[in-house]
Amino acid sequence: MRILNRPYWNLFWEMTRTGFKLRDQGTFLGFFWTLLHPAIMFVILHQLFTKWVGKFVSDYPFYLLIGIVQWNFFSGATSNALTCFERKATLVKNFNFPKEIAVLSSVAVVFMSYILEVAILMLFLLVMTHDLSWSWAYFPFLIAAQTLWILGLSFFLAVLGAEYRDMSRIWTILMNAGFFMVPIFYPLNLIAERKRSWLLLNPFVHIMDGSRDCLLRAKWPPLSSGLFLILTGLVLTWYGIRWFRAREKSIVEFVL
Amino acid sequence: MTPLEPVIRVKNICKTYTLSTGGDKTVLLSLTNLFRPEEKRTVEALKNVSFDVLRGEVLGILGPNGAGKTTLLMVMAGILPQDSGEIESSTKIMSPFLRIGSALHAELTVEDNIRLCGALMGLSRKEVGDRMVKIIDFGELWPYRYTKLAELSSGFQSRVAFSTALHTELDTILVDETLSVGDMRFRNKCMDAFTRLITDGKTIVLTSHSMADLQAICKRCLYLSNGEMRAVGPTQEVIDQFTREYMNS
Repeated sequence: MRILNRPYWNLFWEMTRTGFKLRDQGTFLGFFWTLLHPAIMFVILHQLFTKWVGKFVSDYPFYLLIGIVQWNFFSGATSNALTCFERKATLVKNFNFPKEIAVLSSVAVVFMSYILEVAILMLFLLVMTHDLSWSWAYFPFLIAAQTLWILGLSFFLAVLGAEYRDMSRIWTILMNAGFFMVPIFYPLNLIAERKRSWLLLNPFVHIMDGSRDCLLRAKWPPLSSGLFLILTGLVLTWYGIRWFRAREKSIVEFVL
Repeated sequence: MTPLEPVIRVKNICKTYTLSTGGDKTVLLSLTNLFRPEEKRTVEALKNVSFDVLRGEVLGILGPNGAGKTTLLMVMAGILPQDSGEIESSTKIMSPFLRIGSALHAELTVEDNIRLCGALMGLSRKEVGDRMVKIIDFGELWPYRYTKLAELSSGFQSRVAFSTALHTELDTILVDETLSVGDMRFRNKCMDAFTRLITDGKTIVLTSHSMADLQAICKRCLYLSNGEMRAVGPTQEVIDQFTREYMNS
């Protein structure tokens, strides 16, 4: 990958650092504002659904919190990648650099916020449940699988976002629909069996479920499902990069 | 190595822009166009342009607005792909001076902006760090090193990118209409720095609307009009031809 070239590695680092600073204003208070979004979502969903759904799920607050953190990473990173060339149009028009760096750094910016959110989530879990299980060791594999899937999708979305001006609106609609089609605030067993089998085709349903298994239920998700997610994520990323590189030269014309 | 050896050979470069008549491209519009094909207009920005740039020379490019000067620099820098033709280069061409300041972020500090500009110009983290003192010294930016760019005047803002670009130590430099920035004293400092680059044997390709700048700096010029190469040769002859044709058009 061209990013391994030393000056490009520096460009990736600078773009990520800059993106993180501009997103979170580079301060603790800035990061607090980023946390406010999942916190408000948590409070509202918890207040609305705890009586109804809470009966079917143990530790519902943590169940919900894990769902929100995982979903926000997916939604935030893909949306950030989709608009990366629109935001970096002046750079694309004036500097010759591998465009994949812009995609990778836009995912990395959200990844950094996500890792901080995960750290806070784990701290909450430790303090409130006093239960540190070996199954937590499985969580990094799920993070890797999710990141690979996000990266793969991001390469496609970044090109489409540069080419089509309404792509970001379409993605926002898809993300709003996706929020209800992934078990973020409800358990899968509340859904009718026929519909559930459709939802299970979505890899993020398995990532979400696996995250709760290992963090909340002290249960190791099946290794085969983790390996399947990582392998399919690798294939998607590999194909995404190839597809992206074949169209890389057109990106500057899309943003001209 | 002879002083007149070509370092860049531009051979039969053609570039056409396709302009949509229906505004921005959207998914919805593309779906509609499946049934009713959209009319598209094309503009030939470069038509079979060929020339050599010699090692250590300053080549000026002149022409009216829309002649294709910036497109030519973007193609030479590898930013924009050409439709046909080829560019052979024995050095890495970067574009540090193309529309200077485009990499700057108002919300970042001067130092952060220098780091980002340096990275965009292909410098490693260590190289930017090693040159930081020289860059801040040249731009006279010491009191503002940790100040947000938005809090500086526009003159000082352009010094940040300009000073960084001057210290990238590239062999071939493309300049798009920006030879100097800031107030009169700093502009003179910029011109001195450029003169030093020329005496150091750097190869420079420069577009400008200022005939005085071109006459002062370039021995050879290239005249573009509507994407066509009208002339290439000694600066005074090319400027005379441009003035004659431009005034009569």
